[in-house]
Amino acid sequence: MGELSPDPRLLLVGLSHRSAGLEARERHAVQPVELEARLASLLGLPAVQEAFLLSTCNRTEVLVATAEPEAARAHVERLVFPSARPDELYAHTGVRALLHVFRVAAGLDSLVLGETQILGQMKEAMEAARRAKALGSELFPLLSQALSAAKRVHTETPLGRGTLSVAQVGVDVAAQVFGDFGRVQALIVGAGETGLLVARHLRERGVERLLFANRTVERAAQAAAEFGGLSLGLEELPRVIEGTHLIVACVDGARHLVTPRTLRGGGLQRRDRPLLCIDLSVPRAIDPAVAALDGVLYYDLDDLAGVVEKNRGKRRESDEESAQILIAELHKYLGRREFQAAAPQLKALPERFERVREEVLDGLFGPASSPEALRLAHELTKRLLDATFTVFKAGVRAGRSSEALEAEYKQYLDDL
Amino acid sequence: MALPAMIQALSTLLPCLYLGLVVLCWSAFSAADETRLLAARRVLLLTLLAAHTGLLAARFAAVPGMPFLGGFAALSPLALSIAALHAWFARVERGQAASAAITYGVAFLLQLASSAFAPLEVVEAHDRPPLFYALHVGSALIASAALAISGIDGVLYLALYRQMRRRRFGPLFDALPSLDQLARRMRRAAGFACLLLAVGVNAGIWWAHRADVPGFSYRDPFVLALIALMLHFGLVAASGFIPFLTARRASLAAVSGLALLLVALGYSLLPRSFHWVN
Repeated sequence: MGELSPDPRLLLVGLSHRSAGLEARERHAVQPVELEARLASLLGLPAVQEAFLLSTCNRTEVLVATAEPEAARAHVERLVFPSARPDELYAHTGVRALLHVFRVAAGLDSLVLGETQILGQMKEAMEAARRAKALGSELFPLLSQALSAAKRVHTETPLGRGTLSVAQVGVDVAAQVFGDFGRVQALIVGAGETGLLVARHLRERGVERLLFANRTVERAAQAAAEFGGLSLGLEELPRVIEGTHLIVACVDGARHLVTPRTLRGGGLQRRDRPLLCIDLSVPRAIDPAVAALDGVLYYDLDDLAGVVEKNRGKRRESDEESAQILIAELHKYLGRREFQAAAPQLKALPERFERVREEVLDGLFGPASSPEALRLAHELTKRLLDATFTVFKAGVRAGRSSEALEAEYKQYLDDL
Repeated sequence: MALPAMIQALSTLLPCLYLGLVVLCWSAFSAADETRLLAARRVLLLTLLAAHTGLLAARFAAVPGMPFLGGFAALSPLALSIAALHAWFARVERGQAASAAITYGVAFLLQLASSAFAPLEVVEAHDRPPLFYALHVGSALIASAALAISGIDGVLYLALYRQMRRRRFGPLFDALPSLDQLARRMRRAAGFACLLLAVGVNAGIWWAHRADVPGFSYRDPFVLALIALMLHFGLVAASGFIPFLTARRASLAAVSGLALLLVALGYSLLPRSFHWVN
């Protein structure tokens, strides 16, 4: 990496949703309880000085500080990814490894672009590594800087705004009708995974009353017990429409459980608020003809997918802004690191300057230097020392130009 | 600074402040970012309210009679009432930048017209007006502002409802308060307006009898329109308790009420109206 003088002591090896299928990711996932033991094993490898292991549902990655990246890579692969195919794995060293870590922390490499869950997962992984005494002067500052860069990206760009989950978008649409959910009765038709997810989102928003309708009433009763609500069978739907403000259907294989006729009995003409019907089922469980009824707002998966796509577009728009922040933070980190690396020599400089000054004064004037000559020599030494520090700092900054980092970042993205 | 010079300066400054506020709110609306420039918006709003109150106080001190009579002079306190009431009604709600951009836009136009065309020397009587007369004018102005806010919220409700019925998630969906919030605010403003209108109309009628205002009649279209507006907005305010008068129908009623208000105000500016002030 030439001019960028990459850190040769960093190596990142991993697999993620970009390189490997779900099965491979499952096989190599490291459970939280195993993390410390695995880190201890990593530290036991020859040439590995510090280690960090991140394992989520979408990636398992190992970052190590090592004097011999090539040798360390082989050891890490054998230990953490024993059954991975070569094409499922990727490895980065130096600045590439840094760029990767910063992007992962910011959620730019996540399956759901810009998600913030990764921040918590990285913090937990850092905590585990700290307990295992696997983090030192190399990795700890690097990971801390990556987290702070990620926070900047999320607060200063639109990256994290707008949800990408259909269930949550459905609840967001409902929020645009009802504002707060304090006086809302929601009926969830279907108590499967999506139904429960919707119920969770609604509960988080403070919905007043939840009703679960399901083919198997026992399943509905379980959901009602979990989220606090009432359960009923599908045949009871018309009975509860009257007091319901929101219907979310998430049923598999049931066609048109809710029809205009079902809703007409629900006093549509008398209700102050519109009745909101959201259909997340395939095939549709709510007859689209309900959309024509006065006082009904109806949305199906295609409508909500449009919102998801719009949100995704908004997040993508922030790519350039995010990259600028990451590069600025990386630049800062590299400058600080280089300065720290030179700290012992810099610390010794004043003493060395003073020794030279004493030698010159002795050589020129002997032990009887005049006070003026002494003052002049002191002042000169002080100013030269200041100038040396200034030139060094400028050199550190110039050696890591943002443009070079930007070019490296672009190259990294092209190689993805 | 002499009062006329101060009035002149504030009259020039106020439209600029309103426009600045509209621009800031609009930028938050268009970016669909409620928090954008929030601190600047708040500072500008407070500055504007203070400057506008200063202008009205200066006019009150400078003009010997009732200082806000005449069509254009009355627009200034109306603009202030709209801005202040909107700030109060929408103070804690999501999506207020969007409705603020529109409502302050209306206030800006009113203030601009007032600054440009209102004469300084508005003199009807050389003595201070009686308390009932001041009550009539003051409450009618604030009631008109509340009616305007109710009408604007009605328009926004209908626009958002229409967009949602067409299953489109455009800028209004992103930036406006929820349908429920708009309906609540519309009804609250209508109730407030109805109450003040009742005070204003009754005080005006009492004063008209007492001062024997020429041409005053209960059959005057302006008086009838005001009474109709009072009942109309009373109905809008109570619509949440009336079956079949849904939020959407109440919004339609608020919008039509706003139209009636504009017609009535227009009529009151005609020389044939007893309410006309030269």
